[in-house]
Amino acid sequence: MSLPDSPRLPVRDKADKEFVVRLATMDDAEAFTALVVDANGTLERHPESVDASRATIAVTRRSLAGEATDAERSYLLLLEEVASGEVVGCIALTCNIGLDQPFYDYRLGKMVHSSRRLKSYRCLDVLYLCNDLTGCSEIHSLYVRRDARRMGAAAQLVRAAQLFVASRPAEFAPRIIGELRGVQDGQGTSPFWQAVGRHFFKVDQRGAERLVAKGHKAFIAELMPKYPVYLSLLPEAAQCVVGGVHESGHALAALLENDGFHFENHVDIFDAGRVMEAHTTKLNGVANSLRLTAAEASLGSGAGQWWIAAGEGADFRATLASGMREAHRLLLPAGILQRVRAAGGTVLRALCAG
Amino acid sequence: MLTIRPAQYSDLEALAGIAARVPPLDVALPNDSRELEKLVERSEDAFAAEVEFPGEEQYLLVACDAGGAPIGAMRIVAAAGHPGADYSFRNETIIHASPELGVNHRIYALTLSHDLSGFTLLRPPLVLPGAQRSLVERTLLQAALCFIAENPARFAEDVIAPLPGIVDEQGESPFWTAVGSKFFGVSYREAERHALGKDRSFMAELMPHHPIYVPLLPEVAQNALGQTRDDLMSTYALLVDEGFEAERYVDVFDGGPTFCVKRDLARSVRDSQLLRLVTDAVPGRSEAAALLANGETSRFRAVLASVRRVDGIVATTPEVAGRLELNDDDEVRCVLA
Repeated sequence: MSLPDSPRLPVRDKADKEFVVRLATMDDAEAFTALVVDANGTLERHPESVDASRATIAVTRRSLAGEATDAERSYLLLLEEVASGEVVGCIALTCNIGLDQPFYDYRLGKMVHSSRRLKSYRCLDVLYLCNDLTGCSEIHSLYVRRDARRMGAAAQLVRAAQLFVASRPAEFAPRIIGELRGVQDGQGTSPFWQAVGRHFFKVDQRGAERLVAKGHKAFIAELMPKYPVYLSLLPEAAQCVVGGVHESGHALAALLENDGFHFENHVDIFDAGRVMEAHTTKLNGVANSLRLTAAEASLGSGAGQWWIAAGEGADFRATLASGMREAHRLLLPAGILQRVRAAGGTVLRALCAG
Repeated sequence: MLTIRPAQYSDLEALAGIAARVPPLDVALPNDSRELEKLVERSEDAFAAEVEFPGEEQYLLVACDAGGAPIGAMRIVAAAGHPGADYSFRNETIIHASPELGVNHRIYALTLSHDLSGFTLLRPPLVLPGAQRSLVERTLLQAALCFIAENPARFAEDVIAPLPGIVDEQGESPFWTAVGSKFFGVSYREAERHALGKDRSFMAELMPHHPIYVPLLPEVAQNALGQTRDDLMSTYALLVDEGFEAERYVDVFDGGPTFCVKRDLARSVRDSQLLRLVTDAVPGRSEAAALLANGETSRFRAVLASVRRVDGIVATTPEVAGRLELNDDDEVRCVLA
């Protein structure tokens, strides 16, 4: 999960464009497909086809209707530009990963080899192929179209996703993860893939990514080394990118860290990119968001920035807004209430953005 | 007339001369007079001992030229790793296949193994440089195998022969640099020195417990796998010729090949015949070069000689019979060279 170039974070005081985050509907299939095409491979789980997009959105709809299985339950959230109504970004939440196809990653562990007689002590880093994260929730498929970047859009998607999690606590696992894209060299290849995956799979990374997009990730994983891999036996270039983050993902990494995610020694099996993990209940948007009653007002000085979400299930809408808290009330301009389809008296979920 | 016999105390000086001519890392003969003396003593004890099953014995055979001067030696270790374990890397094949993706790859991985523990181990024959060197090496190897075949209680049914791996100009092993050094934190030489000692428990403490995927190693280390030094290529060929195979195991330190063969399938054992010795000429057959070996232990003798064979009989000269310490009508093991 990454952006082709860094969104500037934290969010600017005044965004150039205004956005709202909402759930995808079947009418969004073409717009979402256009996003996937625009992402040029970075939305690696989504094939560039309208049918595939329809299928993805259908799962979202089934999930909202309570008709999805545990294995498939997931939600696609879209970023809509308010003025044009265009879909310019996306993020997805999967409630439980690895329940149909196994979810593989590497756990970075340690093994100490020591001999008193030889006065030798070596602490070796070892990568263990594992399914540790099975059943966790996952935040993934974050993308913002180029013309909507540098306006806090990515942050808005990430926060909206957290507010959505907060609105359906029973559906999400105690732990939630977010995979960050790993380090690449100047030619766009991963030194880790070059040192490890390539030997077991014998296609280039792009080829592997295409297979991932076709839903073959577990098949590929089954070709990967089952025995632990001693990190110190790998070339230096591969060793030093384990747990690293692609330069386009640094801002996102900082954002996730700020919201309660941290590195717990799990890395991606293909590019050794960092897997960020969090306790779902401790996520910023879950632990610190408040239930406040909306009140329409024109704001004077002293208003702050708030991420707010209104609506349940399919009607969920979230945006960034200026607002002023008064006890259990959040004073918001009429335009904002309209944007999230709320009225005075609606109970909102709100997270102070400072 | 090349004769092979057990080493004696009186050979010490000649053996030291041979040891001094070989590279420092060679473990076939210690290049140290104290160590050499211990080895000869140990060998004499081994040949003299009543042995019911292979244990700590080490046997040193010496090749002598026509004048009786030692020109080569070969060491047999009755049970590799005794009394502990012998460590080697087993080269395992893992199939990575996915019918769904139409993929089927063969991946090799090195697994630390005790498989070869207790197998009878042959150190490479060491021979003084000279015109006859490869002949003497072959004769020593054949004699050792005959000795093993004649004394089944003293040796294992499997015979192994490790050859030292490749080292660069600085004496560093690329395989060690890529693998062992990461686990040991000591130099190759120091590790070798410890490995030759009695207490090898550090191997278990330091060596990798998980298999090592060969394709993940640096190319230079992969290329060193199963390869031996240029000066041992003749020994390599000799072992292949004898029916040894080196596909499965490599040395844990330098990645050198460990050859293996079932005792009874080694060419010198399989093709050898027990014949009746005669010293008067037998007509009707042409002469052939053969290694003749008696069935003794501490008086073991093997002689490379011209013989004539017919119907369970091998004919040779009284001089050869004398060297073998055999008389007419005694049984002799005969391997055509």
